[in-house]
Amino acid sequence: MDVRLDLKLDTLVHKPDPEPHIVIDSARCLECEGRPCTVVCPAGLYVWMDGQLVHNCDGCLECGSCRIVCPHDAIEWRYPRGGHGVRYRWG
Amino acid sequence: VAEHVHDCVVVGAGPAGSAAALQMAHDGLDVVLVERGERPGEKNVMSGILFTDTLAELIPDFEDRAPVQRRITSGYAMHYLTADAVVTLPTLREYREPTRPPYYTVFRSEFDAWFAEEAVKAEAELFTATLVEDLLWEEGRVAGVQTVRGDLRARVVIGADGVNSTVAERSGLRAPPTPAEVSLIVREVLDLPAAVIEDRFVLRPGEGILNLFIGLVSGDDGRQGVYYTELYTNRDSLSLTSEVPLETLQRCGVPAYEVMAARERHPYIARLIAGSKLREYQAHLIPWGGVDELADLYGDGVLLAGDAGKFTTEDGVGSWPAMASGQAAARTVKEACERGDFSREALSAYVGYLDEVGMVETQRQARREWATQPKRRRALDRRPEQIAALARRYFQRWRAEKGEYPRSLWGQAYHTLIKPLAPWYVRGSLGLVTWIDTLRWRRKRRG
Repeated sequence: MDVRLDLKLDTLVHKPDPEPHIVIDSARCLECEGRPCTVVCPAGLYVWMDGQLVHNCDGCLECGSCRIVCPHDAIEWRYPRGGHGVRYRWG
Repeated sequence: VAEHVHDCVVVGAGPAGSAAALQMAHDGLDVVLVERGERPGEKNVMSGILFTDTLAELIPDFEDRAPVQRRITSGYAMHYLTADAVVTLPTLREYREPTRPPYYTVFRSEFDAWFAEEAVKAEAELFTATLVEDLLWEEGRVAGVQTVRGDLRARVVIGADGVNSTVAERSGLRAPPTPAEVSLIVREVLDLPAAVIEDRFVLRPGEGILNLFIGLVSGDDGRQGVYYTELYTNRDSLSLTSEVPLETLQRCGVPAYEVMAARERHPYIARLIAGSKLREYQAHLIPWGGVDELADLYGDGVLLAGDAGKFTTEDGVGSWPAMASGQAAARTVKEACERGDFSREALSAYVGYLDEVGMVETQRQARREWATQPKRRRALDRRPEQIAALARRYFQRWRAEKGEYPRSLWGQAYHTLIKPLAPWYVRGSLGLVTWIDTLRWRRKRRG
């Protein structure tokens, strides 16, 4: 990932939800051509690496772009439980 | 003992939800406002400025109390960006008392928390850190919401839970948006001392300016799409946003964070933000294009307001339509409570209340703008380059080689800017003028 993006993401405060709020059916990603999730995620959390999709939902900005662009319905998406997730101090 | 049934549960303590809760609490209804953040506003990102028309109605003395950053009375500047140039269109700076409620830059973490607190003072009940996971149903109508902390029963549920609206999707009123119906905002709040901001943007303390930039996202294989960058002045920071339709990002294949990074590197923007330090990096989706049918906004026991109901103006302003729709939803619930009827037919009164606050027309305009955009896309994509070319020609016309340009300046403007986008009657009348102008230009060049 872009080093500068890493530094940018470091400005954020998160309270991770122990139960992941995004679950991926990565078998479906193998058939996916465009993999738009890797393009739209503003935190760069979707990475195509060694022939598979790697995703980590800590650091999620909760914008919902991934679930909207996913062409194979492979992303099971919900908000983190109340009080968890990203906390914008200067939203 | 039967569970308590509230008059209304409002999901989401943003501008729409808090406006609705405040209005209903004023009217003496029993209202609960449910927010998933620990504090209202901490899940939101302000990607624009706050228009205060509805706020001034709800809280007449808000100017003395609301946490705002700078008042945007003194400036609005629009720019077209190309890779190595910027064309600044006429800038409006007004130095007089505004006749309509002014607008402000705000931080939603401050503003939403304050606004929700106003609703609480009016005796609405606020539950924070509470995620609404699903709706409660009873005899085919929405009867409340399910949360981790238990169920909340209500006569009406107002979904003011934003673009990824659980209420809209679970009630079946709306499907999740498509990539063509949302834009991704990436925003950076950049620390810069107030005095530097005031010097750099020609402002006095308390005054603010907003800069709008229109540029292009370009993919490796030449695919392009228009997107917007905005630069706002806060008290001692700047907000730099990039706003790209998801569909454009997907088509061009440029990562969202790359679009933002490219903006920071643009020679002009780099100078405007020079010396600043990143305070926070943010992202948020905004809907655009309105709803297909106003009937998608209400159902049995449920109403949608704000981004959940895709209330934005044609150019994507969302906070004020959110408040206006929240206010209309509140009036609808009040009428329904008076009549004791919470069916879809009774709640269709929402359309009338929306019309009262101008939101029916706003929805219609947003839809029209959205629906015609694909047809104009090629023309819009070429616009920044063309405007830069026109500006270069205008400012350097005394250096033009004889015979360098096949068309007069007016002819160039007409063919690149007006003709591709104007309706037929404008093309017809201006086309004739252009034709005569071109003949004169050719004669002059020969002579």
